[in-house]
Amino acid sequence: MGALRSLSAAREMLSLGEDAYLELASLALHRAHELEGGEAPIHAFLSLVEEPPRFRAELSPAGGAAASRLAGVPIAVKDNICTLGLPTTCGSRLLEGYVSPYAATAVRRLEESGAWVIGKTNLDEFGMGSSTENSAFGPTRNPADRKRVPGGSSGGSAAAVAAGVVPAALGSSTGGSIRQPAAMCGVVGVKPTYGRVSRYGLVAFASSLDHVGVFARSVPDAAAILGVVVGVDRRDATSRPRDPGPVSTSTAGEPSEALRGRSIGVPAEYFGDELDDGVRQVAERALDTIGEAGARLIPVSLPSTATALSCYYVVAPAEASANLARFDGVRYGRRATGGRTLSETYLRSRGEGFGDEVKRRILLGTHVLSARQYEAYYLRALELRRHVHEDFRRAFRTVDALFAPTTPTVAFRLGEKRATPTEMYTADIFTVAANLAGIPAMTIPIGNQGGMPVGGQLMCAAWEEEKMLGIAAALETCLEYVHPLAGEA
Amino acid sequence: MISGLKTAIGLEVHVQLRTKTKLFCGCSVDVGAPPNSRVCPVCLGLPGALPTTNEEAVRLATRAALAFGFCVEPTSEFVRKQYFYPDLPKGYQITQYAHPLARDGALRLPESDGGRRVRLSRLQLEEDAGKSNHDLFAEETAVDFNRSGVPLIEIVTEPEIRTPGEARALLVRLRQVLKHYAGVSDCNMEEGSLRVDANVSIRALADAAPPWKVEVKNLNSFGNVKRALAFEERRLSARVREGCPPERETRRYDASVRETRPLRTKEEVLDYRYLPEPDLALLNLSEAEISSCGVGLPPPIDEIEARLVERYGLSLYDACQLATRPERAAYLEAAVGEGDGEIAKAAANIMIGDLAAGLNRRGSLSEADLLPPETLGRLARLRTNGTLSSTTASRALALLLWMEGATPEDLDELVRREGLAQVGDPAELESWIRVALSENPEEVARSRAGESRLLGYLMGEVMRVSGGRAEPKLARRLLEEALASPE
Repeated sequence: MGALRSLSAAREMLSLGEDAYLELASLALHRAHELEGGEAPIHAFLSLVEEPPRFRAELSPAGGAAASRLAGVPIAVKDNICTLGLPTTCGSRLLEGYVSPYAATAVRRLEESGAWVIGKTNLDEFGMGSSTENSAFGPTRNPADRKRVPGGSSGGSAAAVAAGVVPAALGSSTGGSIRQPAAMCGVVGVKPTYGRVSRYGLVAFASSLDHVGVFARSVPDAAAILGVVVGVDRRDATSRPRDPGPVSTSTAGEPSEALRGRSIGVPAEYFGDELDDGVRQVAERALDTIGEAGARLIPVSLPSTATALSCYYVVAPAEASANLARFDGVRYGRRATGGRTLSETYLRSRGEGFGDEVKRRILLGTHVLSARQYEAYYLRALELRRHVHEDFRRAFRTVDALFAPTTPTVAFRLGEKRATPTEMYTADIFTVAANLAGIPAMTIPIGNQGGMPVGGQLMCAAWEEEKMLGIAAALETCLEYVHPLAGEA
Repeated sequence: MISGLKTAIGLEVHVQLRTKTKLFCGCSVDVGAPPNSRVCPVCLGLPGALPTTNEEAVRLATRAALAFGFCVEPTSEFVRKQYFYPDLPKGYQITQYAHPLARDGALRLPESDGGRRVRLSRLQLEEDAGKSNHDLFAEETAVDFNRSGVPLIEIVTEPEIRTPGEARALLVRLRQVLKHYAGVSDCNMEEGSLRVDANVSIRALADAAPPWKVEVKNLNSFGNVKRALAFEERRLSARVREGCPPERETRRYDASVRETRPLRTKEEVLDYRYLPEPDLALLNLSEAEISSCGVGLPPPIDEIEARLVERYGLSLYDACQLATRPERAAYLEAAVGEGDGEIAKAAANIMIGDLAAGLNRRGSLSEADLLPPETLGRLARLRTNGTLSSTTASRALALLLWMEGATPEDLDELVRREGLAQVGDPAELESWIRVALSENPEEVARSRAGESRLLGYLMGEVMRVSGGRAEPKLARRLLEEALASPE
């Protein structure tokens, strides 16, 4: 169903009017339900609307107004982003059944552009994980191979787009939770500059690292969605007024021309021992393609890469321990019964409500912020974070963009890494640095390895989404990637 | 101070700023509204909600800082102070810690309390928590979040206060400055817009500062601050004398029994795990922004007092009474003008006495609204030049206040019409004396028999008969003569 895999196809169909809208909506919902059934369900969604919203003729693409850019387009939203009507559970027992009284700014902007939310997608609880196995409501499976994970934490959004339920989805990224699952599912994933998309309504995991971003099947589609959700928001004090305007990938002439004359940095640290050989081969072929398209490949070094993950696993849990303190069962969410004292009620509510990984990170964060450990961990991590910033700043003085593999391996098998958290953490080893620095970064599928998609990552200096998307669109055109599922109904 | 031991008291004062909306959201500040009717996702700590800073609160906090001579920092930082409590919706309070809004202010104690300068170490901006009510339901606690997110400033003094009385005096003065000089808060303790925590330590004079201090919470009036500190001073001194140094703890004042009770001991000291608030940028204030917050601030209260003393020779006590609000001092100066100290003292006496009482009765705060300053000046002049006695001056003032906005000419007319001027004509005085003596034959007889203390009583009778108009010096002399001469 092409209209569920491409925005332009969807818009073409939707321009036919109300009947086409209803047909597309029912197809999308049918496809979504399909993924929930069967022996090994993909289980991309935690909730789905019962029926699509009423057709709004005034938003029809025939009108052509800016407000109708996404008229009638079904969009999936990660379940840690607040929506009206559907629950927002964050994949946690603690918030089971919680319905937000307000919608996130990014969701509101999509809806104002005519898009509608088809459902809320599965995730690692509160975004904490790299495989979507940490969801309290069961894992999501990779559409390309149902024995494998879709990556995480936005695994549901990545899978919903990869499986052709929706042409695009919203996700969130704290350490790589958009790029990593997008790479593993073979779709495009974009994490914009910190502050470019409002975080208002994104349930916070680690506020200084959290980003709202998008999934789509192609770079122009991702750019179109991003163009709708970007912009300063007075409800988010960290969203910046320094917004260079709408995102577009339009270039004069052939898209592939966007690579000619560009200097693309290749960071040595991203091609080290952690990198799986198969993935390396695919990444190196993509580098060849970049070179053939007329870009200069420049070896660069980002020495902070080695410590970025450690830095991340201090800063993120520290902020998480504070952000998740509000889930105490007092005002909303799960409240355990039977506690005789206030403190017992807290302990039980949180003890029963949170999963193991969330508890692990809260404990870690609580520890590193305690008066005795603060300097040794938190302040040192902030110092390391400055090094990460500095490395990127230096690199972008000489190159337009950085190219690297998105993940060290293709999607792994369900259960393969669950027992060893630190091994699971390394799945984000190539993605955390861009979150620490707040720079825009994205992944596009660059090939398959053993039947599983491989992602290539592009990173640019802050606020240079347009340049990044232009380069990505050019590379996408040159690579002519074919998804493993292509050809299936 | 208790002999041989030295008390050191520090205060932490929380003051609610007079803003329309809360510190980090647009909810109106109306803590008396029906429970949980002034709330939104932000101040309820709902998932995904984010704070944004209320600029008016920053402005008022900065103004308060300038009123105490604080150095306002060009860059300050919000942090999360973490602890669990049902009325703390986010599990942390957004406050300031390592980098407060302002440092190094000072406030001088009133001269009547020694006039010492007490250093104020910091002023920070923070949000209030909700309010827990444990009495509404038998088994459950009710929480009202109307107060959650209301903007507060916390002012911390150095532990330089030496007595419970000084603590009280400093608080009175702090409130005067915040309420009437800076105009940033109602400072209403009953409504919770001013709250005080105090810490006390006691040491033998020779020792260095002790490693412990006791914090006292739940001090809901200035009187209770003084009583609680006096109680702690006695309790701690006894322990120090007995050679068992008190431990560091937090106590709570129970006004019903006038005692403090333990709340938390050292073992339970909380680790607040401060974290720089990642949802808010650093708070940057330019020099121009800071100085614009101080526009219209009156001079410091102790400068105004000193001026009243120097310029008019008022007593320190009177100067303190008049400087409670800057408008009062300005009103006095407008009334007296170039007049001398005698007139200023007379005007001050009227302001502190009858005029204050008159304002009180009318529930008004502004002298100038009821009585133009020039009219007070005329009244003071008539009092000092002997035209009016204290009794007729009071009567004149009562009539003037009733008229509202009376001019000096109105006062002159009043004095004429009502015949308020003092009478020094011996013939008229003697006739009043005759009446007074004839109405009190028994006292007259006793006085003549040598009971000299009755002279005062009889003098009062003369004044009564004269309607307060008898010129007292001459009347007294004539009365003495009348009593001395045989019947």
